Amino acid sequence: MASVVATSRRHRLTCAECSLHQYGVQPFDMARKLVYSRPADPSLLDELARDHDFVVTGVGACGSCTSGCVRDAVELEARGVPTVAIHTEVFMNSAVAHSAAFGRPDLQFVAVEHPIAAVSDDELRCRATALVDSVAAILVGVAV
Amino acid sequence: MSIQTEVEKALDGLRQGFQADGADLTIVSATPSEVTIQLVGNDETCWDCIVPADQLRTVVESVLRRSVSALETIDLIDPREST
Repeated sequence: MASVVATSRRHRLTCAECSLHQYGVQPFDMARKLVYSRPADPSLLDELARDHDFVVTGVGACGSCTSGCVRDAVELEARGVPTVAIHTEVFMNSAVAHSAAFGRPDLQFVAVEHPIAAVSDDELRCRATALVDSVAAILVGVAV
Repeated sequence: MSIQTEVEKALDGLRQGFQADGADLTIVSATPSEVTIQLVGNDETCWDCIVPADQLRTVVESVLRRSVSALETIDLIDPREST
């Protein structure tokens, strides 16, 4: 089972489209955290790690949500569940810096065009669909 | 390369994200062993969008210590911590 951790409906939309339906992945859950600038509650992270084969976190579209997404990914990887974090392009350097600062410099990220706040749901789906192969490649360990 | 240039180069990658939120990181002072960085913004800055203060300090220190190994002291002035 796959899961998505996101901070809003639109972020869930982006992540869900990346949840590899086209690869036959199902079922998948979507989890929402309320404080986007901090890691998700440890109990949620424990649950995700226990019940899911991989997790996609996102979307890092500002400094604080990028920080939160990376730290979720760090915490989930530490629990042994493969995790991919999605960020908008302008926050990729911040994501890399966060992963190094919090002990997981090996984390890989997928970038989506910035910004996402003002685009339509259709456009957001389009952008998200374009990410699926990159997410899959990271999850199966193929260099991207 | 001067210490100022080394620090600027190390911070360059991070600054794009801060600028997207209407803020920036500037160098207040830099010596071979000590640097002071300031988070700056204005009335249009999305302060809630900026990396939380404690995490910002961790990330800036991590970036600078990896890039400018001679630094002994890294000070970060964050206006959110004085309000």
